[in-house]
Amino acid sequence: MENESITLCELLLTVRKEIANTFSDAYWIRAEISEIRENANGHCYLELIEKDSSGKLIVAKSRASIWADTYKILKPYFVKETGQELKPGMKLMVQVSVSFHEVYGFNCTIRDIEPTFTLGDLAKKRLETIKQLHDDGIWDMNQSLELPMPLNRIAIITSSTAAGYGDFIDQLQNNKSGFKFKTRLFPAIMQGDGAAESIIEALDTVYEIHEKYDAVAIIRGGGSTTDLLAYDEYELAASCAQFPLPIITGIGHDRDQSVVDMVANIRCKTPTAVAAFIIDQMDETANHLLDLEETMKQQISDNLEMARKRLKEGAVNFSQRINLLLKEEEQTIERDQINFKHVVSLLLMKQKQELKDSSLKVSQRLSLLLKEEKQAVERSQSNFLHIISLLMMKQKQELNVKRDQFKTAVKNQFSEEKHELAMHEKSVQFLSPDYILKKGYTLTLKDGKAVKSQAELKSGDLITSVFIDGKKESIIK
Amino acid sequence: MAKKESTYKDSILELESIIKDLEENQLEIDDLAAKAKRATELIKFCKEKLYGTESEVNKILEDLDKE
Repeated sequence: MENESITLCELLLTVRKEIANTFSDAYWIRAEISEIRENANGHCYLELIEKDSSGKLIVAKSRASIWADTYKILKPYFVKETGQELKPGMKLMVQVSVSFHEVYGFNCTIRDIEPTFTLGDLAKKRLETIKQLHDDGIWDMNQSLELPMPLNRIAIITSSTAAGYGDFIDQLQNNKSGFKFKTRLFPAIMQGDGAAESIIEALDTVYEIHEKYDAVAIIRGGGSTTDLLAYDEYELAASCAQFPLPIITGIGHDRDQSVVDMVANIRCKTPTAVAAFIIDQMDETANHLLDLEETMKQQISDNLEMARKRLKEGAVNFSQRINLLLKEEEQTIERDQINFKHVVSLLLMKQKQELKDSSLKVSQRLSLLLKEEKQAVERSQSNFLHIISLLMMKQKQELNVKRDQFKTAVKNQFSEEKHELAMHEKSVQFLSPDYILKKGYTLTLKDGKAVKSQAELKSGDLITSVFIDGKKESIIK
Repeated sequence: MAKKESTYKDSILELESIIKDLEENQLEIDDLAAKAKRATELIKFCKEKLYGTESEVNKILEDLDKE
């Protein structure tokens, strides 16, 4: 069995030999960098991959290396041509030779590189980003913002360590016109990995207090012009495009404009240019104000001059006009006087005639009235006498009737009285003591007073009995 | 931002309208004096915004108000 098998090394050596024979040429391949690192010896180790059309699935993967003596030539060449460092995600066209090592396995050794391919790919991505911004309808949002007047409160996004920042501030604060600027630094990483995220974060911070600022300056002072891919990234460009304050860029690269530059309200090449632009704006604002001030002063003095002139002309006109008016008035009065006299005499005459007419009418009317009145009085007089005599006659008749009635009544009264009197006489007769005594009754007196009860009497009392024909005294037993 | 901008802008607009009135020579002498005074105030305000000559003082006053 041992004789029928070979060792791993023997197998891999065979593969190595076979590959070296079959793939002896160099091949231009297209691939994407998924990993890259340099070691201390100056060698560069990469992992190259290829993805399917969806960009998600890896369909090929291989180790690759650029040996130090090649790398030290290729690297600066690539950076010079593309403005970019080699980094993950980047698409490359490289010339490779393949080899197989029994310990290290399959490896592509990179011998040459074609930067234009990478450039093309970057340009394609950039175009896609631009198209996306257009499609989202945000492309010209920041560009359409009006620059505020005055433009003197500036939020600055830059690296706090950059020397350019200090120069920028100096330039603003020491402007020749003496404008006052209010600035604040919002620090961010301005290039390389994480730059886009860092700048977006700074923008978010400014956004919280954006009412306090007129504009945002995104500046990058000095340093290498490589690794500015962040400024073509969709997220950062979209944040800038939608920012509510005008964005002024001074990113400082000499390649084409970045997408951020394109969506910004104002793009300048360098921070210095940004500061100059801002000062220019302020100068323009100040000049406009100065113009207005001059115009105003001129206009006020013009107006005053005009008013003075008007006053003078007015005075002359006034006296002329017054004279004219006075003359006219005089004439009018004269005319009126004549008219008045005429009218008055006419009126007087008319009045006189009317007076005459009316006095005649009045006397006629008066005599008529008097006559009527007299007749009326006469009529009433005779009426009155007639009524009086009638009334008197009636009164007389009534009096006669009353007198007869009275006579009869008196007569009747007399006869009634007589009768009643006779009746009374009779009653009195029956009641008199004589009438009673006559009938046999006696009246008993004691001491001259009538005794009405036997109790009043005791033995020995002297009483007097009165009879119709005299008295008899007796003593009680 | 809106606030400050509109204040400066409003001042400029008012100033321009005053100048327009002046150019039309429509003003009575009393109005003229009033407008001149107003325009001077506006210009002072705008210069203040540009050069901030009094802003320090105003800031101190504002701070005092807050306390």
